[in-house]
Amino acid sequence: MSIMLGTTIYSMTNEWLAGQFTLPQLIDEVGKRKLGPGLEMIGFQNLRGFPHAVDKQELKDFLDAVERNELTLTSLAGNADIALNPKQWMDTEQSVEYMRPQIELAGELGFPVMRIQIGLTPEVLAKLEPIAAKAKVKLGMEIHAPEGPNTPKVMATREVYEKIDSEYLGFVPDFSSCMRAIPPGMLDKLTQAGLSQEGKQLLISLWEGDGHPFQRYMAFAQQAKDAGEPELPILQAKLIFTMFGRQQPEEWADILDRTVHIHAKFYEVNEDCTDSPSIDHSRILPIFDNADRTISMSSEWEGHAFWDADEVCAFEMVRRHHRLCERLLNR
Amino acid sequence: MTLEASVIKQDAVRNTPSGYEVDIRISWYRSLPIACLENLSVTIDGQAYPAEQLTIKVNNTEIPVTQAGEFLDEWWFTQDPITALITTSNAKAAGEQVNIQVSLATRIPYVIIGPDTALVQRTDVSKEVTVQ
Repeated sequence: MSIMLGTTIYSMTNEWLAGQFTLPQLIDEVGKRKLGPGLEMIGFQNLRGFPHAVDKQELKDFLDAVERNELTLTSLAGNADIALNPKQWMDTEQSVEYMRPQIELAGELGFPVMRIQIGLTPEVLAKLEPIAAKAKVKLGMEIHAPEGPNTPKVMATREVYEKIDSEYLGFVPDFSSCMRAIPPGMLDKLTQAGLSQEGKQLLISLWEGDGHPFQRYMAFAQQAKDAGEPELPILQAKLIFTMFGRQQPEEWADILDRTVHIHAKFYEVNEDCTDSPSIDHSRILPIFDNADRTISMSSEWEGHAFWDADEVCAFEMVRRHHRLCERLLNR
Repeated sequence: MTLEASVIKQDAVRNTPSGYEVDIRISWYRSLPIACLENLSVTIDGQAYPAEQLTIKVNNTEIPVTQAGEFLDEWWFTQDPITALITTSNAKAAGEQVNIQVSLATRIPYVIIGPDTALVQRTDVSKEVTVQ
């Protein structure tokens, strides 16, 4: 079987926040540029009133746009928001009832998967499973940096999944977990913020080193401060240790059976569409492409963490990413 | 970095009979409940308006910033601004330039970074804009 390419609208976060597109216009642009067939979005990003107060006409306009562009819905991203109330965080029942309308709306719209986040407790997962089964929506817990398929938090979820053993509980691997380099654009921004060449080398060596990401960041922050580096890039560098993980790509094979969707996170692709410096797609893609079924994969450009809309066009980055993946998948 | 790019647009500041209205856009990639607004302060031409002096208008509901934590069901949508209402007798007229600074702290309710601790995203933006 094979990987089915697609796009998450999250890639176009800069354009969306700037108000350059309505949702149907954004989907039309994805269709026009042939960035499908898969289409993923984040409920709380793109739907006003999500999940239980979305205007019916807006939902119809959304589905019409998907249909006229011949796109295939792949995943609707949900959020657990357990710290919504500052005075009292959600308990198990409140978490279940918070997720329920999100899952049900995903089912109504025809999304086969809902992306959920790490941190949902075993009790909540057990109570969500029948809701997901009824809605025919597979819950995919995203495995994102600094976690990886074999880190303790994910292992705990894998054990719960083994016990419940339902096709409606799975994972969404995100390539941020297994990066081979810090994105060059991120390093450029830190340099612009005043980080010296020596500071950059220190950062790279600690990011590539062993140990817990937070401890490696603290070591960087202390040594950089002692060396007189400015405060701003030291603070900004924290993102590097939380957003860019150092797991080995081959570890994804350990959760391949329970993979329900893929986030092909990327930060840059060269003009020839032959390379993505920070993420080694040639090592990652074959693992998923060898599965015994078709798995949908969203190209997820996150360069908007350090580039503005007037610096880089998200649509063009996703186009390049599709060409890169097609080449690696021999299509 | 760039999540803050759209926080203050060029037409964000309006002169009103009681002072200014300032449109503030979210500094996160998804909508958040107003209960997640932990702090907001605005400075216009050096005059600071801390949270205690600010009321925001969200979906036609007026909310003192210090009471934001109680509003669990009002949402700050990614493409809609909240509007800070500022009372001053010294507001500049439409067409004049002002320097505006916005400091924003929003709790990210699903990014849990420690026991009973959620990530708080802090954003400071400064811009020269024309009063509308």
